[in-house]
Amino acid sequence: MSARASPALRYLASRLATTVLIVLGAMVVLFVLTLLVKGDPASVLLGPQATPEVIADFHRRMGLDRPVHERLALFLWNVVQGDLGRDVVSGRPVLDRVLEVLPYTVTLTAVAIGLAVAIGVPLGCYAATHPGTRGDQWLAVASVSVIAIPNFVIAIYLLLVFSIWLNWLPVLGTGSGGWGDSLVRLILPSTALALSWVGYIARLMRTSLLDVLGEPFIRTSRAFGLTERTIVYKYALRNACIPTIAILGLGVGRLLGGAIFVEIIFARPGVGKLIYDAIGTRNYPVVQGSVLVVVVLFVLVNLAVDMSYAWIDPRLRAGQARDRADA
Amino acid sequence: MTAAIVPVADGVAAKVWASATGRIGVVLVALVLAMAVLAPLIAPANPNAIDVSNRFAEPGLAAPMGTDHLGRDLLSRVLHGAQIAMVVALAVIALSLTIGTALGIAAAYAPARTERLFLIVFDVISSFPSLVLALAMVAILGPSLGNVISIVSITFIPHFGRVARAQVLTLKTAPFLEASRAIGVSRLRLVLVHIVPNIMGPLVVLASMDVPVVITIEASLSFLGVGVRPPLASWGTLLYDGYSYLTQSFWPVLFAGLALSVATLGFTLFGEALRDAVDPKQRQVP
Amino acid sequence: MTLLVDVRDLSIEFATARGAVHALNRVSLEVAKGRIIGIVGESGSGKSTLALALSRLLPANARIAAGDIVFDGVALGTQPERVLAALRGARIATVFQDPMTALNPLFTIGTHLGDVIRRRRPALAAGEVRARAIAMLTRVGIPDAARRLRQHPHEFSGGMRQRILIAMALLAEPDLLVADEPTTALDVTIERQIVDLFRTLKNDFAGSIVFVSHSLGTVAELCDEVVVMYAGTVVEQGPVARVFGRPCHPYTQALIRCETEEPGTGRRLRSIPGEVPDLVTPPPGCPFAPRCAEATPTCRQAPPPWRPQADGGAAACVLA
Repeated sequence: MSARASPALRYLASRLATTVLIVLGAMVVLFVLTLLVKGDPASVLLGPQATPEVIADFHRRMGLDRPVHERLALFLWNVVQGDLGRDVVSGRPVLDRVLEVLPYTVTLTAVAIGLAVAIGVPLGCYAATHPGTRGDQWLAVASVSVIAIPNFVIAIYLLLVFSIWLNWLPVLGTGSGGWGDSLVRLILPSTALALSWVGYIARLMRTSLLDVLGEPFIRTSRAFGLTERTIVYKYALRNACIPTIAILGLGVGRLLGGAIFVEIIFARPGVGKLIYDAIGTRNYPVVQGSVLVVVVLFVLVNLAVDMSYAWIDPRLRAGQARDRADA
Repeated sequence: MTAAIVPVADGVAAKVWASATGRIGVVLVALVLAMAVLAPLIAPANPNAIDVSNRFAEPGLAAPMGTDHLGRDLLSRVLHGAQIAMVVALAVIALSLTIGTALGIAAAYAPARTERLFLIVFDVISSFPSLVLALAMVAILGPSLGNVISIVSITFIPHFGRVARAQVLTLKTAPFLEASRAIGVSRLRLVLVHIVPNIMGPLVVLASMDVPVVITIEASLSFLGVGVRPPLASWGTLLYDGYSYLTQSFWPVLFAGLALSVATLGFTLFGEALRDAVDPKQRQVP
Repeated sequence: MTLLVDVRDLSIEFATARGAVHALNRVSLEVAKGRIIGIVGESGSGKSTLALALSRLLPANARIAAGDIVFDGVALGTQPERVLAALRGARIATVFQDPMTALNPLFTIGTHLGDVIRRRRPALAAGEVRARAIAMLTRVGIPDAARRLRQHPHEFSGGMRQRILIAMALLAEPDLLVADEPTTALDVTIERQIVDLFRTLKNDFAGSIVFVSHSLGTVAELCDEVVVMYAGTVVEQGPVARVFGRPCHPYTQALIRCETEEPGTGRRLRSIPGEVPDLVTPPPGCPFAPRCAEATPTCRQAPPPWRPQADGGAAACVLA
């Protein structure tokens, strides 16, 4: 890369390189797993339900008689071409099965994130602008609780209270009705998924915002008589978003893991349910392929989060913040 | 220098007890540990004793938490679940802390190429959402207590490895270390006697904050059916059983969920109070 | 001359873990309209505290223990934050010491300036706001102002950032401009440029200026009157010519000696023996007594008398 290439581009390039390395590493790990399975990899991997044709196909494609490094290369080559193996039960390509349920998972996760931000950010701002008050203390307690308690416990409790005891919301599945029905059936699962994130985000916003409000540049804004509303919501909030997004990015993994449970508990189709059912039926190619897709998604989201800093923080767009010597 | 830890410990304990959240955390943790340790002694019945005639009993004198879908006493199952949770948590933390620290120290002293290799491996492992990785591995390798412990440990090794390495790097140039080297102290002795005690602080705090995460992962894996196997029953298993029969009785779900919540909440509060007492500046993830 | 600011017997304390720090001890100050007052002293003398107290911009742990600040007839000590915020950015503007941290890194200069202008003149159209910003940037010596409006603080050097902050202060069209050591954080050559800028601007500026500095030379160059502070009290004040020409207080005399001993650097050498007193437990009597070559026993026991001088100003010393 030439010395005159924009620092932002250079940063993007290095992040992409790291990302590719990580995905490669993931694929290697998954491949190594197949080696660790005892006995004939084919029959154990494909499970007791595999037909002789599938086993033979597997042997041929996997080149099980070939040396390990050749098998690894073949595996990687297959994956890059989009061939994640075949579903043991139906014979369909794994990639197809994953892609057909992916939209459900993405919808659920997107709605949950939207909810979490819409509720968590204002709560965090309130706590930061009213530190030490009763509201702040209650929020702190509630936040710790939803963060600490596993989200599938929260999901089951929600199911218990709202569907079974109160009978307010329909219980399971995505329903066959129109938009309205789908939306209603989305409420509980997305809330269950969002709740621990509300706690996370509220605490993060509170801490970041409090830190920012103590910075010298906020004193400048105060010194010029800008309204508290302008200071907090126009200026400080944007500064506080940076560390918030940074740490949110680290927690994306948890969100993805949480989606699996919510899908299972609320019997919704999605990648999580796919993995879970595949484990139950020993449909290991599906497990392997779906996990790989999840990992790639996860890594891409992290990359996107990293890129978003550059958009928010102009210092990163220009590379290292350097002070020029001229007056 | 090794003695540096002891006076710190005194002040820390007092500070943890002084904060409200710390106190609640300590109480809850004590409760869970008591349940785990005393389970065989105070459980009213054999947790695996099936009594089909007594399914879904309401909480009462005979069964203070009721019974599950096979008539097994829930209180006993919950108490033994505490044992599983604690055994797994302690085993995983002990394993990953030891191995991770060792690798982290090795990485800090290794030549640049090797160090980069360590870091890449750490990165790859920690780039997986840990639950998904554990899930895939346990599913393929087969569920068992041993597998769960080993695999979850692996996912935590990079965590400790990175922090250990960072700590060693800041410590490496300390004058007292150079002085020891100058008088001919061997590297191994240097590491064991001088470095390890001085980096333990942040690592111990990190470990205590990881306990609830491990408990959650173990419960999650058991919930999904790839954790511990019968006759062992983890809280996750209890939750799944309860969920399956939710419409017939909600008591199993209620109590198993409560136990899990108490454990995770208690250890989280305790871990945070500990972190704040040791070094409030360490707060990086709220 | 009417008084814009009348500080009467002001005492300010900071609550700290070690106890209350008495940052200001019965300080009085008068700023008439259109005058330029310099405040000099070493670190810890309370000069910044005094300057920031004028618009009540002190940190949360500061407390007015006694006395008051009267701004254009209104006593500020008991006013709610609402009233004070109305004064700031419209009647009082402040230039802070460290230009590197005083601007929000995520926002353009245009946004910073625009918000100040709009706060002062809410009815202005966007084009007019922009025109004023460009005009003021040019006036403080930032070339190519129109393009610079779109840039962020990190794209400017320290000296330029301070010019921007001065521009912001002037755009607020205040009656009082408070400059809290505006050149302390800058290199010597840049310091010279900023002082020159102040010199050019002060002639067109209709309001009063309070200029805090540790440099006697700068104050002598820019100000009409000077206030010398030590350990939270005013030890001497008066017209610049009188105080520097015929200093009455031993501390002022020592300061001047220090500065003239190092010609050309503008920096004072710490060559007054002894140390600044602990402000948590201030000593009785004159705070400078422990270091004063001419101290008498009474100096250490009783607070020094305030002696007005025939040729202007006053000094807090038995010898004045």
